[in-house]
Amino acid sequence: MLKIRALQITINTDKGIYGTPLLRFSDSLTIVKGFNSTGKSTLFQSILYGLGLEELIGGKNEKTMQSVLKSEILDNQNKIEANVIESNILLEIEGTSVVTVKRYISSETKNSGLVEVFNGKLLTEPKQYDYVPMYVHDKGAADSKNAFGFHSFLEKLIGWELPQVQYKDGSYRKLYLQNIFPSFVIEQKAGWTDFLATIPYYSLLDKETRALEFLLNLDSWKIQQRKSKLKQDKNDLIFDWRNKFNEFKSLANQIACEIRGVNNQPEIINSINSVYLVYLTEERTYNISEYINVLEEEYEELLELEVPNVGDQAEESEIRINKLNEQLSNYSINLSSTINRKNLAISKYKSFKERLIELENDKVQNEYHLKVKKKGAEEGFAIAHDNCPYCSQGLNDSLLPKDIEIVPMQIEENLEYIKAQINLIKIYMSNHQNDISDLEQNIEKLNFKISETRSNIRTLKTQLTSDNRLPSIELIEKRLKLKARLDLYRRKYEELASFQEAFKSLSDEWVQILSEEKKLPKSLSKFDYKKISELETIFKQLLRKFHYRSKPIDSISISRDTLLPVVDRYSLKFDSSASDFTRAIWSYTIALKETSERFEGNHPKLFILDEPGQQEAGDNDLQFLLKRLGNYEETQSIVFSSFHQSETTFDACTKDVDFELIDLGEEKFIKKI
Amino acid sequence: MKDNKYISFTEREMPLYVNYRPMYKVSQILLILYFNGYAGKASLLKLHLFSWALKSYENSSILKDYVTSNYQNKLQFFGIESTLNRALNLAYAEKLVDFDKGNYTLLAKGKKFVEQINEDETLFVNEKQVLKLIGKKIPEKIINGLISQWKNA
Repeated sequence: MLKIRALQITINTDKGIYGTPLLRFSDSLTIVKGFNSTGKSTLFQSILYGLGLEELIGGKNEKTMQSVLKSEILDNQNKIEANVIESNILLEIEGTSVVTVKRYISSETKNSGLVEVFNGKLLTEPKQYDYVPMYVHDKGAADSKNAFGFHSFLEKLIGWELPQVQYKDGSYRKLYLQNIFPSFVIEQKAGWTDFLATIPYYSLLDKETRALEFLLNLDSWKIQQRKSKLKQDKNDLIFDWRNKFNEFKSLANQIACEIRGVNNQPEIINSINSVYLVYLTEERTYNISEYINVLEEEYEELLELEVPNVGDQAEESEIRINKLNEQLSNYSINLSSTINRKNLAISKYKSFKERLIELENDKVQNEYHLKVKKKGAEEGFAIAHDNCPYCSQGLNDSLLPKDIEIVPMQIEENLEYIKAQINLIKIYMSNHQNDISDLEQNIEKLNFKISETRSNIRTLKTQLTSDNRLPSIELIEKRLKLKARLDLYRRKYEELASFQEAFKSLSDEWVQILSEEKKLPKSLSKFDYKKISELETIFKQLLRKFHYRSKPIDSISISRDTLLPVVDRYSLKFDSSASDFTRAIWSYTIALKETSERFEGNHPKLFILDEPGQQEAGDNDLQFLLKRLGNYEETQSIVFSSFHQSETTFDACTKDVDFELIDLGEEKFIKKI
Repeated sequence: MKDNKYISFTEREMPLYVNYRPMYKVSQILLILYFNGYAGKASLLKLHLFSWALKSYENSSILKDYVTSNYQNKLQFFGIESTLNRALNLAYAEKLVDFDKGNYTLLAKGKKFVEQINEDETLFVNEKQVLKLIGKKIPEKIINGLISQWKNA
């Protein structure tokens, strides 16, 4: 909720102090009536200025304001009466609490980007209240280093929590107050030209719709946010999964095993046992637990063998050494060729990477071309339309001379072509990466085997040179090694269970995210549809009551995409006469509030309307509008109008209307005090 | 007896290097005049020099080094391409640039367009950075000096 309680303008001039008396606004309807150029617009603009919302009138800071507040005061004959030295506005507003805002328009010492917020009813109950300096628009405008942003203060005062919305550059930032106010603060010049016409340009996508979604508190932006949250969760999970997978892989590498049932992308795992490790030999593939059994049996067998003496074994040992040496050289050859292959793959990968960078650069440049071509076409350049400005013949979108007879691709197609190449290169790269990591694994395995074989050879050799009567250490050592190996596999096998559980729980999370994603409605929830059809109903009822005639009312609807009124998908604007369009804006403005109220939306229950009787909209209809505003119990309306400078019109328009009047009279309202 | 037999070919469209696209090159020319020309004015050779610099990262680093070394580093050769001349003709016909006494000048229409490009932060990001960095630090005199070296070589 936001209420404007009181306003006062003070202007110091070389001829003394000028200004307005204290103006109080009713909690319900206040009509500010006055002849042309008495100062209605000055008051309207002062309210916006006090709220830091002068961008709705088309600019920032004092330059938007009328000259009476910044340079000179004119008398009723439009001659200069006094020169302005310093001027300021005091605006008492009520939201979750009552504060008074002081903002300077013209001042030697106070910057117009600064507001002072007094903590109390400075106008209606003057006292010495403490104040805090805050800045509007631009942080640099504030003199104090610790100044607060006035708009985030105002946001809290109204009781809003503005959502993050996506801007055209793709970033998410807060929706601005300036984006929302044009739906209930309507300025006389531009305000009646379109729905929410005075939203300043902030390179926000569908800016009107974002404001309407917020006012009606639609789920659609929550859905948007939920979607990006889910996307974030998904990425986090992919990241966790990859980490876990890499850990798992290093475990598998330690025991020369391969992973089954899971890879580096999240997937749905139905049972813990579907994730396991296997040990590959030339003959067959063992499940890790099977392999442990095999090792155990082997170990048992070795334990049963009697340890022979060195002398008994000499011949056999020599044969074995030869065999092992042969094996060793095989392994070495294998190793060096694998290393070569790996290096080759790496260098290929690198060249693909370079190519990718080039292509991505190409893509960016082609996008530039597409963009400047569009811009050029908007400016009406012949070249941008593929015409030669000299001879009006086709240019083919190419600078190559005519006698080179190639037909170049259209730029869009060219872009697609480059994108396709980029995808292809990415596939090559990922294939090569897999190859490289496979090769690395092989290298590790070979290294392991080589060192094992060497150590076996060493043992046998030591044995051959030692005393013939000693027991053969080969067998003893074999036993010890096998025992160590068995222990290692048993230990790692225990770790396996924790990985299985981890993958299962990640997979469960994954399933959850996927199903939530499925459950999200596309853009509008059921509740949203209900709100929008309510808005449509109220809007159309009001159109009837305001005697809208330009189009059959049944053909009008509220677009589910833009939330704005349309006829056959086109804006109502194109099909309405000027006075009917003004009626449509009244209806829409009111319908928004009533819908928001019914569903506890975010409408602040405030209307500030400047000359709603535009385009001869008719006294009857204006009377109906005022009556509707006057009947609201908890909604404040401030309406500025000249009523065609006629008492008769004023009486006709306010017949049976509850309101309080601020009459500015027929002459300049800002006078010497 | 003569049989008329035909072999038919379908002409396939070819991808085209973006530097050979008219609007792209014209925009580049306007940017060069805007950032690097004195009062929006530059000679043909200057345009060629910058156009060459924008062709690749290596080229622009060479030019940057040349400027930062206070013109002591070697800048022996920069390329010249006929497509730039064709783009200049188009820009002239479109009344984006004027040609007078061997110099190309930015006209109001061109200036308006290049300002739009400059304001759009998603367009020619690296190009603008390079051109801004070098700025007006390469006067025509230096370029003429380079050319005379070619002649003597």
